[in-house]
Amino acid sequence: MKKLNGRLIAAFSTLAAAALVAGSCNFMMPTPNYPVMRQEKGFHLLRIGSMDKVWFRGDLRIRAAVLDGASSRDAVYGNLGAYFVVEAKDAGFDGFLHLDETGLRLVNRNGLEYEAMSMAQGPDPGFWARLASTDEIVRIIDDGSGNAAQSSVVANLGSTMAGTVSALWMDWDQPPGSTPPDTYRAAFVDNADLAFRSDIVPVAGSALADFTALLARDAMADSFEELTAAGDPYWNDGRFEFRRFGFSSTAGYSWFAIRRFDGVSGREETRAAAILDAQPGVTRTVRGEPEGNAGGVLVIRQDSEPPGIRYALTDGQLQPSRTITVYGDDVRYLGDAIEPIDGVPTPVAVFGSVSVGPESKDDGRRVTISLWAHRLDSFAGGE
Amino acid sequence: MSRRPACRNRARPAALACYLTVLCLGAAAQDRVSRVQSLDELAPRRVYVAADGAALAALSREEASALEALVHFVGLELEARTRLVLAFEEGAAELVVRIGAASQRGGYELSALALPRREGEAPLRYAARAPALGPDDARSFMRELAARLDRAYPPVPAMVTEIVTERVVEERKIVTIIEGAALSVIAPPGTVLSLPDGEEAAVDETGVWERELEQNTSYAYRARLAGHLAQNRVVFIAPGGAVDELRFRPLDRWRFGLDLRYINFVAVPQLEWYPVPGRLFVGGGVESSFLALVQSYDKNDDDAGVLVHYVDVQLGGGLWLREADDAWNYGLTLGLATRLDAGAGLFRLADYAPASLRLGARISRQLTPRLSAFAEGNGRLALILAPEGVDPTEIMNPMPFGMPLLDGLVYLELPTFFIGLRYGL
Repeated sequence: MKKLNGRLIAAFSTLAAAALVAGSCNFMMPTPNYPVMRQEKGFHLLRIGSMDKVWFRGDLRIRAAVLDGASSRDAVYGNLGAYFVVEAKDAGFDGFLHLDETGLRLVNRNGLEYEAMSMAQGPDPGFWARLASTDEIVRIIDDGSGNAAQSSVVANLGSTMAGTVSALWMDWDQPPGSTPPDTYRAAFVDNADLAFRSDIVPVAGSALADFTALLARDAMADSFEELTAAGDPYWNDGRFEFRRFGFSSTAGYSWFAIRRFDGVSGREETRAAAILDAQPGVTRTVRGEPEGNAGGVLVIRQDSEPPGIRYALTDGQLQPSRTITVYGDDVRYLGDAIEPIDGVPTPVAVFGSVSVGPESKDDGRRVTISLWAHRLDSFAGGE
Repeated sequence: MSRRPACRNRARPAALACYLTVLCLGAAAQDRVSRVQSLDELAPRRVYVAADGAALAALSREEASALEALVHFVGLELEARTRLVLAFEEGAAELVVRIGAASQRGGYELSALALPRREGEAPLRYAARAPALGPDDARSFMRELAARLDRAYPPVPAMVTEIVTERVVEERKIVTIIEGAALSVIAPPGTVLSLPDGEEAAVDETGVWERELEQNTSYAYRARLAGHLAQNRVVFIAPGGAVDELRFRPLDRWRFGLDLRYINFVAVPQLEWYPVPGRLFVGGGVESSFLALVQSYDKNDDDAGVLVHYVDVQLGGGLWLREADDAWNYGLTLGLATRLDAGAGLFRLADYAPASLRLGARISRQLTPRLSAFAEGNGRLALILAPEGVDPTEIMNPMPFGMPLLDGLVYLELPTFFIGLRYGL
């Protein structure tokens, strides 16, 4: 009996040792699945936030993202926040992701029918967005309980609209330390053309446009190079789609992201259009999708695929000064902010990079978002 | 290869033992002729078969003719079914068998009497009935007789008789003559022969190494020539001598092959160069997730793929611990690697393991003279290039099994096991 027990113990020990050795070996190839990818020289990591057990299929893409208005201007280290609207197949959530000093969390839409593409950085906590139902620009915040809340109505521009409005945006731009004449600008697209309204503070029902960019829409429509009615007919109705709008108060220009999309073939062409305040009759366009401006620099996402997203930095005349590459499963330019760099409050441009971990049957996937800052003074062709 | 050269085909006694001991009793300086007998290998008995004369006289003419014919069939039966061989003269036979027949009612009484000439052996008698004297009627008699004779008179050692002439130098001196044969090894000059009992010999510039060895023995030795595959040889030393001509196959200078790594079968092309053939190699390979036979195991959606691939450029070497001609060989490998990340808009040094030190242990099996297969366990000490502010232990998801060292500057990966093939050039 003792001999039998000894054999059993020896066999069990051998099995256990073999299991231990096998269990401590690496059988998986070390796929470079980085939660936070290293960025080019000049970038400073501001924040990382991760969230586990996120359920969706396929790739996760950032549809729109902005910086938190208040924290982007207070120059307090470590409190910068950002909001991300992401999209994926069969996503098990509806809302936005909020990254701040407490981490990354999901904030439910809570019935607020804001348009993601109209998200803009305001001066206060939260972000601006347009409510589709009322044409109001409202400030939306994370109420701290996992739900989005409407904090205030920033402007009701519906009453200022002339004719049938097909699109509406409002942006705020106040570079740190500057005292520009305009801190916000609203844009209207009606059946006639583009119109803008600028003022120090938004006032609902105030007088219509400072100027109208005559023939701007025709110029934009004629600028498309691939999806054209003549050369490469596409199937969609209409001329093109306005996706985003913004303006630079320091450089004095407005910019648009315009897009044509062939719903049958799935092809699309996105261009950046800019209109200088000093030349309202001239519309310039280049290929790429503008995601925002950093001071006077327009940040245009070029045709590129993750993980290396390439941006062109241009002036208001869309003349490129340099290109940079930001790495991630998806990347978005978020806006400018004041953040301490090497202990000194510094105007920076902030990018958000999202990374998705491997899929697990039981635990969903891990989503990590990191915020990266780049000095604004190096954006104009310096460093 | 062993063969018997014509020049050494001189007559030698084929003795069971190759020691011939001669007692010399003559006077000094006289030639002594002596007869020496020795036992050789087993030899069959020679048998002579004849009809018994008394039986022939008692039979009629026809019956006598039938009996004589039957005697011939008995001889054929013995030749076919026994170890006896027929002698055609009674004087040359060691065994005489006489066949008799007596008429009885309804048949014949067949009888056989075997008389051996060797002292101490008993005669054998056998009798049986047969309906007639024809070979078919007497078949059972013949077969049983053959079986009994084969058992009773098996082959015996042959006696060899030699006439040895020698000069007697001293009276009453015992001279022992060992009959030997020469082994000639034909090999390239410089070949080193490791002989039994730890002795070593070298083939000189004549290309022939010779040694006198005992006849009818096997001789084992190992032959080595620098830069060539060593050989273990076994040669049979025939009475006429033996020649073993060695042909060496050069050891591989270059080897190429493929490793198959990880659970998703990453094919890794490899090239190795042997500065010390058969022992030490240096080489390199490229491991990349681009070459994974199973591209991705962690994402199963239709439009989700690996965004970032890695390209591991590996340089290193290895040391084999056993001889190249051993079927199983063991070795150690050591190498450096640099890793690049590659993807859309991305080609740069990787964040994980941009430089790494690899250490492995390998076991190899020679499948053919040129092809070998091996398995290797390989661990790695990897440098980590984490972005500032990122915990190095979480730079990848998932991290390989292992442990961070030096505050996360490097990471010690626990081993991974893989298999591979190598083909020599």
